Amino acid sequence: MKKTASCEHNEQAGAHCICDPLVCSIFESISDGVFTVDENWRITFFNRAAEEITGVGRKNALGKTCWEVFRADACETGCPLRRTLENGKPIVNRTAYIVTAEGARIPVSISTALLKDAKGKVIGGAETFRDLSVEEELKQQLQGGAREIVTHSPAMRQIMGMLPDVAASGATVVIRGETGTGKELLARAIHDLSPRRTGPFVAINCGALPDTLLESELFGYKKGAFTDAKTDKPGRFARAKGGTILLDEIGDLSPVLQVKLLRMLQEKTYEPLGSTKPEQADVRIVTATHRDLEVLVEREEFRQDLYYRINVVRLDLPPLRERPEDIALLADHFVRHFNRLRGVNIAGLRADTLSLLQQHDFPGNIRELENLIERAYVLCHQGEILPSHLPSTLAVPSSRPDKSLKTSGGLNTSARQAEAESILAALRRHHFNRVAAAEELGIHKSTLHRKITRLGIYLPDQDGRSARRD
Amino acid sequence: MKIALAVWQERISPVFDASRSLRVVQLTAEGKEERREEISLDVAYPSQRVTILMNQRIEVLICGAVSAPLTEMISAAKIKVISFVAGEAEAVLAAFLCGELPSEAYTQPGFCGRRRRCRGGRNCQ
Repeated sequence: MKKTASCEHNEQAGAHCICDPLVCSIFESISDGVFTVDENWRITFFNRAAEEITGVGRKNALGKTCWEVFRADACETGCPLRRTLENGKPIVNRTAYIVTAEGARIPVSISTALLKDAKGKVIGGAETFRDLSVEEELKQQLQGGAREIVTHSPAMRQIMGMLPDVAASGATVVIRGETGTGKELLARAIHDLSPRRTGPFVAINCGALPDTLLESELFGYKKGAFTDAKTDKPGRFARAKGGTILLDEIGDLSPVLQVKLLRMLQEKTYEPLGSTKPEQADVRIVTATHRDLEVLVEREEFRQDLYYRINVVRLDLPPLRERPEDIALLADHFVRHFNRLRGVNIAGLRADTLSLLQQHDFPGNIRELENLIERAYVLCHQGEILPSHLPSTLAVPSSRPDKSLKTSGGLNTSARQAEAESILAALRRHHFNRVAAAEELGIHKSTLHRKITRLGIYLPDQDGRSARRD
Repeated sequence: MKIALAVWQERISPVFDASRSLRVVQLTAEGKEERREEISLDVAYPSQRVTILMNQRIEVLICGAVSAPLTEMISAAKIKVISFVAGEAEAVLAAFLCGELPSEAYTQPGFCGRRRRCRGGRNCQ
């Protein structure tokens, strides 16, 4: 029978191949990772799926100790394979996570068994593992999407550096940032790093509900509190007991509810609607807003005493346009995310697509970028994401001011915008034939080229020369 | 300067996110070992790992695999991380003192010695 790649690599690596080619072929075809070790914990077999999940090639893996290759949290404490080799009993579906070469945590399900030769003598152990990333991703989606913070930005790294202390402190936090900057994600990160991490994380948008409904949502109500209150209903504070509550858009809270929240913060108790007995509030409060609370206090739209109560620690999330170094990183992150979610294998963004994104202002911040990538997946089925997979509005030059020309201020930006639009219109009229467009605009083609570069106008691959109509 | 090695069974612990023991080595200005101590890392939360490193005034951490979010937190605390290191703890320490880290000889499989994955991926030698 013909040898498989695994058998050949085993032989090349000087390792003893423990299985016959038929078994090897079967192991090569399955989607679960499989490896075997000898009595010294050296890897003797490593299948194709194991390569893909761990990111380690079998030539690198064979002959190495399994913990250096597999890199699971369970390696050091409670290794299932070690337990199986000690007591002879197989282990099935023990969950753990491995850390890939890129630093990603991949959840896996591990099963182990003894490896015996034809005479029944134990010659090592076998471990199979399944990548649970998709299941975890779906679970997180259902739970409201707790995902990792992806950043290279110095401003964000500063915030990340503060998180351990902020999380451990238990202090009330205000997170300020534009829409889509990841305020809830940061609040979840604080919760996940805090001693309350085993408790629930509950988020509520204070700006999304009318006043009366918000009050009953926050504090709950007792049976008979109002006409339709047929049973007791616990509020969000009760549901967050032992955990963390995020009060999103706290700046939209009405004056009446501001007073109730202030009292709860001061006395650590609250009263559900219709109740005469106060209840203990065992919850850490994190607030978020896109509004400037200081301005609201000055305008007397937000209580000063409440402001000082909640503003113990303030974290300011920078908008995406102020952290352009994160655009490529986040785009790559979302490509991996949607690849897993949709079971496809898009390679990534082509350089000109990324360049187009980097010129965009992203008023919707990270959420907008995520939506743009998700939209691209509708049109792009294989290969790389091209500019044509993005909305045509992105082809319009960005309104982001050129730093070199910034001194002229707003008027300059408007003039640049007008100039860019007239150039783009001329180019479109001439099917992106630059010579013809330059002629119409009464400028030399080199001048046009310089303006296109300076104004950040995106042009399609086809330059329209074949379509020139003299 | 103080450096720390995540150690397990006298080797570099495979995953720092889950390692239980830290070997802290105080170096003289000339880069010679002055004293050392073993510190427990038996903590529940990632933030506590960073807090321990900060409290010990560690400047360089030498460890095995480490997840990206934890790397960010450690780096943000101004601690240099030499990660995805493998091998005998004493040999790794000696290599560091000679200025030979990161090095391919002490790197977990799948890496080329620096903080990046082998371009060759599965077929990389």
